[in-house]
Amino acid sequence: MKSSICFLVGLVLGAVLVIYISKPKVSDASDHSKILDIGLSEAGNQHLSTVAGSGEDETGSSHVPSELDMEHDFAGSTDELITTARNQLVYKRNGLHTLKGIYLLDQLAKKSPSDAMHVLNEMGDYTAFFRSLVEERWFEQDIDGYIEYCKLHMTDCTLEQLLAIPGIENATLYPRLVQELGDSFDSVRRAKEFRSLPLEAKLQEIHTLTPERRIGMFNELILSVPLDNLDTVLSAFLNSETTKPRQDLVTRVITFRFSESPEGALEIARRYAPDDETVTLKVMEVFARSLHPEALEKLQTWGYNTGDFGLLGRHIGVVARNNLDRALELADTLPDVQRDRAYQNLASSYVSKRPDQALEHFRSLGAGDQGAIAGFAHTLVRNHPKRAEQLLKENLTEAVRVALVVKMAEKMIGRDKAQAIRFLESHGYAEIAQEWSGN
Amino acid sequence: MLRYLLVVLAGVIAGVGLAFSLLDLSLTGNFAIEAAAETGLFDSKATNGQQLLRSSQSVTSDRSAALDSSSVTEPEFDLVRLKEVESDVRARFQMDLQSMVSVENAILIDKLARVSPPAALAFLNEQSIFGNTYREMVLANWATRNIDSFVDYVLDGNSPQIPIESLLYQPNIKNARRYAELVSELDSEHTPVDEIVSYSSLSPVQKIEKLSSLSLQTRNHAYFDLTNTLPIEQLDLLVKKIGEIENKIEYSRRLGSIISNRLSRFPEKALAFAKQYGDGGSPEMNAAMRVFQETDHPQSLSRLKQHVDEGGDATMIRNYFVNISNFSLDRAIALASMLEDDHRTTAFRGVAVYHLRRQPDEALEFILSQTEKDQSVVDAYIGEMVIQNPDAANELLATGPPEDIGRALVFNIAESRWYGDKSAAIKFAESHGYNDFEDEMEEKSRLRREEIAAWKARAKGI
Repeated sequence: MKSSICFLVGLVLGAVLVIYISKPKVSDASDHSKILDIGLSEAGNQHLSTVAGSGEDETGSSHVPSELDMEHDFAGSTDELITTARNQLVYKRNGLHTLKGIYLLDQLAKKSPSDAMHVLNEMGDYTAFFRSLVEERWFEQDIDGYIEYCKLHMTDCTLEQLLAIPGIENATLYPRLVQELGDSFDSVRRAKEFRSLPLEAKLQEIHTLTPERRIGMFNELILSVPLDNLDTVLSAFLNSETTKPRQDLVTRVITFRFSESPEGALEIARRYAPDDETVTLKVMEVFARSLHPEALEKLQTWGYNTGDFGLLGRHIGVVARNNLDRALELADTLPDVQRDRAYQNLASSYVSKRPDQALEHFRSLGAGDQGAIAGFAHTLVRNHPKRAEQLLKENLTEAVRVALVVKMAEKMIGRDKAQAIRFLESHGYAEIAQEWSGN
Repeated sequence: MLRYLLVVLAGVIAGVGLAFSLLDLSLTGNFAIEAAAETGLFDSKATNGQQLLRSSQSVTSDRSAALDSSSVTEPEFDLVRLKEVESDVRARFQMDLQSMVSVENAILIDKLARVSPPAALAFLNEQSIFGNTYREMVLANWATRNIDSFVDYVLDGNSPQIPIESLLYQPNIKNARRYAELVSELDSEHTPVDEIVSYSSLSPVQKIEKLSSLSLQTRNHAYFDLTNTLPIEQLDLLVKKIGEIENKIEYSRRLGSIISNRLSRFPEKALAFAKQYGDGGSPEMNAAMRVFQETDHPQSLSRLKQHVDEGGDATMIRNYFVNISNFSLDRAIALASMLEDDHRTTAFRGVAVYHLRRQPDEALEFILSQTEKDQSVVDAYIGEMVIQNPDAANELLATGPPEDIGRALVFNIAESRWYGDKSAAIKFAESHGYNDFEDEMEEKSRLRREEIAAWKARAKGI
C-alpha cells in the first residue's frame, strides 16, 4: 500500500515537473523593454529618451496566436495588449502591414479604442487608412468617447461624419451635434437613411437627394460597388438630373476605379463619353502611367490630334524608370518633337542610372532640343549639383550652357537674389540678370 | 527507506513519460489547428471546441491545398486552386466603406496573396482607391515569402509604381536569384548598390549612426524612411544626427518635417520638440503651430496668438476658428469675441467660413445684428461672403443694407475686381458713391509691401 502511494506521488511529481518546464512564460512581454508612457494628457516638456532594448525583436509574440489564426481573442490584460501592440506596430518597420499587426490593432480597439487610436497616432501618417478600423470599434462601444476625441483632434473627423455613425442617436452629445449642424441636419439625416437602402432602391431614390448630396452619394457608390455594378450606378446617375456634367461623372469613375487599368478606363470612356476630350485626356493619363503595350501608339495618336505630346513624354519617363534601354530605344524611333519630350522625361532616370552616357547625350543637344535640355539641366542641378558645376567648365553648346546657368541661378535665387544675379553676370548673361533684377 | 525512494523515482519516471505523451498529443492538436488556420478553414469565429474540432478534422484533406499556396513560382501552378480562392475572396470581401479596413478583409487578401500575389494586387486594383490599404501588406509579405518571384514581377516591368531601385531596400534582396541582373540594370558603377544593400540590413539605431557616411542619394531616402518609421522616443537621436550633418536651413526643414509627420497629434510635445531642437526657425515652429491649429488643446489659442504676434502666419488663427466652429459655433463666436484688433477680425473670418457655408440664413441674420456694434465682424463676414458666394453678396447689396454693411460689400466686391481690371473696380465703387476706394486700395498695397519686406527681413535673420 505504502509503495503504491509512493509510486503515485512520484508519478504526479514527474508530470508536474515536465508540465512546469514546458509551460510558456506569459509575462515575458512586459519585461522586454521599458516603454515610456506618452498618454494623451502628455507630459509637457518631458524629455524624449531612448527606449531600452532593440525595437526589432519579436517582443511579446507569445501573446499572439499564429499569424493566420486570428479568430482567437487576445488572452492578456489591456496593458499587456498595449505593450504587445506597440512592440509590433510602433517598434517594427511595416508592422501595420502584416496580419499580426492588423489583428493586434483590432484586438486593442475592441478592448480600448482610445489606446488603439493613441498607438496609431504614435506612428507615421501612413496609418491613416487604418483609423477607420479603430473608429468602427469605438462607435460600437463608446460613441461619446469618440466624439470627445474628434473634438480634441478637430481635423480628424467632421460633424457630418459623426452623424453618419450607426447608433449616434444614442449618444449623450447627439442633441448638441444636431443643433450645431443647423440647416444641414435634414439633408444629412436623409443621406443617412438613404445609405441604409439596398443598391437598387438607392438608385431609384437618388432624385430625393439634394444635388450636393447626390454627388457625394455618387462618389460613395462608385468607390464601394463591385466592378460588375459600376455600369448600373453610372447609368442611373447619368439618367438623373445632376449638377455635374456627364464628363465629370465618367472621369470620376476612371479616377476612382480604373487609374491602374488602361483597358478598363478606355472601355468606360468608349461606352459613356466616346467623343469627350476631357474624358479621353483622363484615359490617356492612365495609359501614360502604365506599361501597356499599346500605350505608345495611343499617346502618339493623341499627340497628333491635339498637338500635345506631353503625355507621350511622361509615358517614356515611366518606361525609363523600369527599363532604361527600352525607353531609349523607343525615344530614338520617335520624330523630332516627340523625341524631345521623351528625352525631357527620361533624363532623370538616364542621369541616375548611366550618368556618363547621359552627360554625353546632354552635351550633344542643340537649340532644337529645348525640352530635353530642360529635363537634363533640371535633373543635374537638382540632384547632381557638383556634376552640373563641373560641366560648366567644359566646352558646351550655347543652348546647353544657358540652360544650365539659368537653372543654377534659379536655385540660388530662393536664398540670395543678389548672388544669383552676380552668377548670371559672371557667366556672360547680363541681359537675363538685368531682367531678373527688374532694372 | 531506499525501497520507498526507488518506488518514488519509478513514479517520477512514469509521470514524466505520461506527461510527455499528453503534451505530444496537445502539440499535435495545436499543429493541426494552425494548419487548419493556414488553409483558411476558420470561416466563422472558431472560438469553441466544436469548431476547433471541425477545423482539425478537415486538416488532412486541406493540407495539400495549403501546400499549394506556398508554391508561387512552382511550374505546376494550381490554377484551379487560384480560381477557388479568388471567387471565395470576391464573395466575402467587404466593400462598404465602413468595414473596408478589417481583420476579416486582411485575412482574405492574405489568403489570395499566398496563392498568387499578382492576383491579389489585381484584385486590390479593382477595389477603388481603398484597396491600396492592403497593397503594402501584399508587397511586404511577398518580398519576405518569395523574394525571387517578387523580383521577377518588378524586373519584368509588371508594376511601374515600384521603382527597380526600391528592391535594393529589401533586407533579403541579396538572396534573390536575379540579384546580379538587378544590379546590372541599375548600373552599379554609379548607383551605390552595396551601400544601400548593407544599410538596409541595419537596425534603426545603427542606421542613424551611419547617416553621415552615406551618399546624398541614400541619405535622403534614409531620412524619409527613419522619419516615418522610428518610434517617437527615438526621434531625438535622428534630430541630433541631422544637426551634425546638415546646414542650418536643411536642418530646420527636416525638423519641421519630423514634427508634421510624427507629432501632429501631440501639440505640447511638438512645441517642446521645436523649441528644444530648433532655434526658432520658421519651418519647425510653423509645423508645431499647425499642430495647435488642428487640435483643440487648452493652450491652442494663446500659442497661436503669440506665434502671430511674433510675426507668424495669421491664417493659422483663421484656420483654428474654422476647425472649432465645426464642433461648436457658439463657442467659436464667444472665443473670437474675446480677442482684440486684428486677431478678432482674423478669428471671425474663420468663423464666417463655417457659418456662411453651413447656416447661410442665420449667418446673414448674425451680420445684420452686428451692425454698429462690431465692424471687425462685419468686415470678416462680408469679406468671406464675397469670396464664397458672390451672387449672395450682390443680392444683399441690391436690398440696400445698412451703411456699414453696404460699404463693406462694395469695397470687397470692388477689391475682388481690382486685380483683374482696376478701372472697372474703381467705377463700381464710385457708382455706389464711394470715391475713396482707390486711395484705400493704395494704402492697403503699401501696408502689404511693408509686411512682405518685414517678413523677408525676418527670414534673412534666420
